Amino acid sequence: MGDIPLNKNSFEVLYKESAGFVYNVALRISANTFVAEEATQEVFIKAFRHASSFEARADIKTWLYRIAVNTTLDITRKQRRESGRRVSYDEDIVEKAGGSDDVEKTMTAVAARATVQKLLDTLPEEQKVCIILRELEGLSYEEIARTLEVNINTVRTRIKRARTRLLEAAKQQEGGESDGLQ
Amino acid sequence: MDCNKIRELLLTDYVDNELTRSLNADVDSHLAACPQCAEFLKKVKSAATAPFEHAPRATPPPEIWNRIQSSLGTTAPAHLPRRHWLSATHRIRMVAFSLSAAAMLLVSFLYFSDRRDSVVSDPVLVAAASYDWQADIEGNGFGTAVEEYLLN
Ligand SMILES: [Zn+2]
Repeated sequence: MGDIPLNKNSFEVLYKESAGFVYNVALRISANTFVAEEATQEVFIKAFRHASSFEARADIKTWLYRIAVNTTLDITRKQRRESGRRVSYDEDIVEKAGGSDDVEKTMTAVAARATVQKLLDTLPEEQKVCIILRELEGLSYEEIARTLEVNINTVRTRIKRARTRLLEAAKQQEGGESDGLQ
Repeated sequence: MDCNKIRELLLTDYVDNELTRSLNADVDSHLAACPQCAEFLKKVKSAATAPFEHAPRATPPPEIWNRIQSSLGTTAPAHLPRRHWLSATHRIRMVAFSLSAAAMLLVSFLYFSDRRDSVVSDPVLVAAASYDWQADIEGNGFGTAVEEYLLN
């Protein structure tokens, strides 16, 4: 992962270069645009407050990924505790698509996003986070390990379990579909 | 390697390009010779990796940046001229603080090495002791490049 030059440029540059991945990680973990927005906002406020401490830090990107994951999980847990319900991802995205000029294109994107989200949401939290960082963010095992501050073999185990689960889910779905045909 | 070990790699390092070249070649030659493992790899790809390829990415709404700016705007000093004035004062005060701290060390050294002077009543020491440098740091913000940007 390349370093982001916070010193030379500015907080705005940091935001422009990182808001995309922070927001997407938050959105994939929470499956909720409100949570993703709140988390992104919180992550960059934390980044601003800690700016002086990571001017010397080489890997701002790892730090941002870590804070994005932790902040999103915190908000999601808090929300679950407080309300016992959450806005479903599909409802939320479809609602937003209404205002777009290119509705058809948006709906295709919504469908694709919903498919990915459905798969992610079958996974336990820890496995889901690893798959998001690996598959959607393209992080290596080493980078995921540093982000989550866990051993690289822990990352490997979580990814193995996640994919085994996805395999089983696909097998069940296949079985279900052929049952339906009979 | 047996099929179980191969399949473990097919679920992880192999599809994620984490294997060394020689291990990767070992897996490839096993796949060429073992149709069951080759079939397993096909399933792993279709069920667990292919769905995430070209997954759409969302764009963060611009309101987030606006909210961050307004949220930080209230915690940072508001006006640039005032900040410059504070910064200059801050620097002078820090120099004064350092000098008085050095003086305090020197005086206490003299005091403890020569017990004949029983009273220490240096105004610099009194000032140094009552100087609220914590509040001063808070008042001046971080003084970082990031802050520089937001204030300009
Ligand atoms: Zn085999």
